[in-house]
Amino acid sequence: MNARALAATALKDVRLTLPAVAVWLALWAAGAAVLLFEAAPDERPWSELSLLDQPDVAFLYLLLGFGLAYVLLVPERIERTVGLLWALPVRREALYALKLAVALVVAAALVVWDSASTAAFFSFNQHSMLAAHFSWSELFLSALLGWGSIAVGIGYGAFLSHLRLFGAALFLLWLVVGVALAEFLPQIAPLAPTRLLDGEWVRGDFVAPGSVWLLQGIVACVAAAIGCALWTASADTPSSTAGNQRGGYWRVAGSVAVAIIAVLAGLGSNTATEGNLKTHATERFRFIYDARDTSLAAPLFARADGLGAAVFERLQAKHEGQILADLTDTSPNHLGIAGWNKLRIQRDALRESAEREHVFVHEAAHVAIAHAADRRLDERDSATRFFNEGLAEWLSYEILGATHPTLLLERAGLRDLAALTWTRHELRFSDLTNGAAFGRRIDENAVYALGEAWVGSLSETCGVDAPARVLSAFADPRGVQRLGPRGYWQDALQSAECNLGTVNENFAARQRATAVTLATVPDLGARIAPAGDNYLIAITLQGPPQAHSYTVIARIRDNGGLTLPAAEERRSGIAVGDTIEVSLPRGAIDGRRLEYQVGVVFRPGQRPYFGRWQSATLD
Amino acid sequence: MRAMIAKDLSANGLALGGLVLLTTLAMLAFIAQINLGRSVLSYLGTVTLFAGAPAIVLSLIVGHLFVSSEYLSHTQRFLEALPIRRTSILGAKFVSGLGALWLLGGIALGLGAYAARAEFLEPRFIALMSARLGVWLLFVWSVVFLISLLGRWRLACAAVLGVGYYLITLMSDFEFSRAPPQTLIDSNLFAFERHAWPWRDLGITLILSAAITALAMGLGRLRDGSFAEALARPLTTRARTFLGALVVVLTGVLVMLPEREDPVPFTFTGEAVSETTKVAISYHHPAYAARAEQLLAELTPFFEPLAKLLDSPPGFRLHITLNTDIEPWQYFTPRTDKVFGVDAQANFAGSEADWSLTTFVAFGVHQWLSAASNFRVTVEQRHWLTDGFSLWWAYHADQPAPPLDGPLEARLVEALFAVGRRGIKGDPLRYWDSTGDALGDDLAMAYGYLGWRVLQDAAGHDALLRLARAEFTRPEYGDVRDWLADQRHPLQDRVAQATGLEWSDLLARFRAAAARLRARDDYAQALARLPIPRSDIAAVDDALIYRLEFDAAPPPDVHCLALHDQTGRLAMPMARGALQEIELVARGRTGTDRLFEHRLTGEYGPGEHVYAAIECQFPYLRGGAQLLRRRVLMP
Repeated sequence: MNARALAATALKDVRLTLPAVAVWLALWAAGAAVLLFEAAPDERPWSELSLLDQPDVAFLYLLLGFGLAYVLLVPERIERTVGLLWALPVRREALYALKLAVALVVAAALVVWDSASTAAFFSFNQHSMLAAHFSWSELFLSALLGWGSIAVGIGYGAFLSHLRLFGAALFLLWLVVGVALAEFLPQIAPLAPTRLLDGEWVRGDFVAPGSVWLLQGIVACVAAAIGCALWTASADTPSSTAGNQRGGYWRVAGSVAVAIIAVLAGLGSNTATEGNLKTHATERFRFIYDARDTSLAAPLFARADGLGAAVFERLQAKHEGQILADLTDTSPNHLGIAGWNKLRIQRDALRESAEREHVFVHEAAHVAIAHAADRRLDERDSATRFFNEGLAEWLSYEILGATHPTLLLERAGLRDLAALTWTRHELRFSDLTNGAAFGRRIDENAVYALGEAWVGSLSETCGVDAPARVLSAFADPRGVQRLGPRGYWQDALQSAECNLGTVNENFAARQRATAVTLATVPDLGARIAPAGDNYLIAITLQGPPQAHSYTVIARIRDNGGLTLPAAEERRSGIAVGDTIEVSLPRGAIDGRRLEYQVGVVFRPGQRPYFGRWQSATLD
Repeated sequence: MRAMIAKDLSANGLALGGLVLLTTLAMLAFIAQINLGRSVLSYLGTVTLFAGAPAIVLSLIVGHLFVSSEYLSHTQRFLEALPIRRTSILGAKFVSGLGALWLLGGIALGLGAYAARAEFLEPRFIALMSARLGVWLLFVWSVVFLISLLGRWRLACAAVLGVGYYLITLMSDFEFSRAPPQTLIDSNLFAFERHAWPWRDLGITLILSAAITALAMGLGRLRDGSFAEALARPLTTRARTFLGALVVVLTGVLVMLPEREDPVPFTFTGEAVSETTKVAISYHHPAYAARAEQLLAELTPFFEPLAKLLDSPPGFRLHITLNTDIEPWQYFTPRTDKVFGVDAQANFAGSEADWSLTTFVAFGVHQWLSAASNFRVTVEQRHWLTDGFSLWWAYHADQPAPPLDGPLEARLVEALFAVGRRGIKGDPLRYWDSTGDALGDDLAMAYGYLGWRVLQDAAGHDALLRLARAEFTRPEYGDVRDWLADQRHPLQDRVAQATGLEWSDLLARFRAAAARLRARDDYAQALARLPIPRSDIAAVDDALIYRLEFDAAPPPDVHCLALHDQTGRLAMPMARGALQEIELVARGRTGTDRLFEHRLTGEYGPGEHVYAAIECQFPYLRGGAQLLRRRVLMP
């Protein structure tokens, strides 16, 4: 009797999953249409189809798992059919387990469908090299991991679906927040369920993220157990008003508690408010500064309007009202930052007169650029970042060079860095217009040097007002905004009556000529190896023998991750021909694959020249 | 009306508490994300994050709670039985829903402002942000209110609106992000514009909101409210199926639509430009003018007839930009376009010894064909035709080539050298990327060139041009339609149709011609004269070691390069232009060395996959001959 009841219930449960299955199949159909209409199917490589190369799919699998649990558990309560289930001669826990089992079976069927269709789709590919990429073992592994991801989603759903739509929203929020947190803090990556498929390819083998699976597996099991307790403990009339009221009060109380904790814990750490803030207004700017910095900021107040006017005039930008200048920034990532009508400058940058004004003009230039180009550069940030930063840098040297001769020395150093980076990395203009890839491959700060030098070539080739004309071309709403980076730049320079090829040619010629004078700057050799809890990076300076020594920098980051390093170490007094070993903590890296990079300060006080980021897989 | 609002709020108070929690958590997440990024221009940017998708989702939930659920459960009948006007009922629902949404918006703004408490928040600025956010939420709510009255059809309607938004973004020049109401929550302005009131944007948004709200009120009152009630009835299974199918079809149509591409208005500006109707050269400096004119004169006889043969569009040209930053044997194409043609870069002003007009023309023709076909002519089964034709055109343009059995031709020596390295077993033409991988780009072109010569000898020059016209003017879409067309009408059939030659016959003739030519004394001697060295590539520790050993010191015009690049775990065809080069045997060197070795140290980390190759230029051979290629895993 029990078996027949369970079988009948299972069949009914399978029917309950149909909405989730239908949505999944609709998504599958959409995905298949994308594949077919993005490119001909005989050209699609396996790496674009294999689940093991698409870790983001975990997001969808988790949602599917949640959806399956939701449609199996929630409608029974809403439509009060749960009372009928309780009447069956079966333990409530068994009914709950049956529902989860049905969800797992349906998930398995969908994964099999997914895998089979992927294999079928790839069979269109009859390329002599690409067709050999397919492997059954990889397909089985991806199906298993996909199914596991759905199972984790089912675990979450079994618990959170008790909160109905609110629980669904909470789960979605958790997934999104998890992605963001894992991106910025790799150490807490296992907390993010979306990392379930984010494995590593180690010497040709896929290694699943064990810590993520362990933690998420435990969480899913616990969630499913709590879900069981909640679901089976419901009253016989679970949708009764009293029950809802109690649940509602619980939700409200929880809401308020979490909100208070959130406010106290999350927002109370604004370090900028630690000091005593003061304000000062000039005609063009309203300053906010720390009272302790009054003596450092005061000279800037006196010069600000003049400098601001010079910046806006050079870029032919119009502006009304005051610009907010916040001098209280404490970010370790930059000296300043700016946007529409606002700039922030780090407190440390206020100490020295030339640097203070340099950073101020640089950031004010960003404000002016935003106005002159009507914010178009922000919309095409990757293609224009070198220009945005380079123009701000170029303008600050142009305006301040006469007042602060030290800045001219700094500019010469920056131009040398540009020449070294351009020639030794054998760069092309397309590298500059792909800012994101450039930062991942070389050094995101090098765009300041290269951009400044490029704007210099632009102004020399097409006139000193050429940057302003280019900004005006970007701002023109009739301008073509749907072009790739190269076309975008060609179009803008054509509108500014300037030839992109000529500017690039002059720029490259200057870099080559400057690089000749920098032949003594040593090349960098690096080799990495694991050593206990650390990575040892052996750095060799190669080049002609020299009397003076250099400062070298070694840094590491997660493979394929952010552009910012996870750990960094500097060593001074290194002579050409020397080999030194720098130790960096293994704990900074999640997994076995990482990237490392070495750099050299080739001129004291100037920005370092970096080699490219190199990948490694270390056991 | 006040009582109605109080009833709505009390009935949904608990759910509202949940939404407050969600809003708080979302804002916390946004603020935490900014804190982790450690680059904060303003914490108020988090409010614009909230005002986007989260606010729309929240308003949909509010719409469900305050409006739809009333109609779906038919409890609106109790309200309609009360002695109050129907407009008041709808008005109360509108006000209570808007109030709920403003409450959530106020919480978001409050939390953002609390996080930004050190950012000088003067009252005018707060008022500005409140007005922007408030009016935006009013607009969102008016749309959601209208949708909520559509009962069971509300999600479908929301989907249609979303699809419409996407379509307009995709297909037109209209920029939603720069038009009201979306400008009100522009992330670049919201947290930073402290002075200017966006009166125009606020006004337009208010008018839009009022119009939509009026429409909703009209819908709610239509036929004394019975229309809205009818919409709330459960859908039949057939209707549900139809709706589901509609969503799937709409989604399919959406993804099928290619992103609209603007024709690229590309012209060289300035005086340092030489051009004809089909070739344009930008040379930057008067010093290069004569060389550019000479090159233009050399290129025009190739590209004018090519454009005529293929009926290329009038604006389709080969644009060449002088780039003295690259070697004369390197060319690359930053951009191609079906309308404007090819944008190529080359160093034609460099050393004449390193510049090969034939190689450049072959490159230009290849890019021309690729641009005109969305690169479909480079799909593997068709690629040999493209490679072979490019070199064939670079040698002969629209003129016939001499018969294969004529006097020795240096260009056939190269082809035979390629045949010797690849062999002629199997179907090297069909599996062209493997052939190319084994030979390198230049030798592969020579191999394909021999194929075209065989075709000409077998079918005649006219058939050859007919095949080229048929093959390179096919309509290409860059999607599944290209594949379907190839399935319906395979290349083998097309070749047979244009030339009367069956594929098996072509292969047989190809093998026979290659064997016959290689057996000829003159070709055998020419091939034997090539100073081919023994080559090796090995990965030892952190180094890639390239090794070349000649039998005797190579002539000064032998030039060899070590090539390398990081590659993925799966073997893919490598683009020659993307490989990094190291000079292994310098051109013009003197000395008696016959052993050349290069140790590339520290370039690749442990466990990385690397592609490495050795390529040499020999006398008699036009391009670079790839002697060895390896895919290695660094130890």
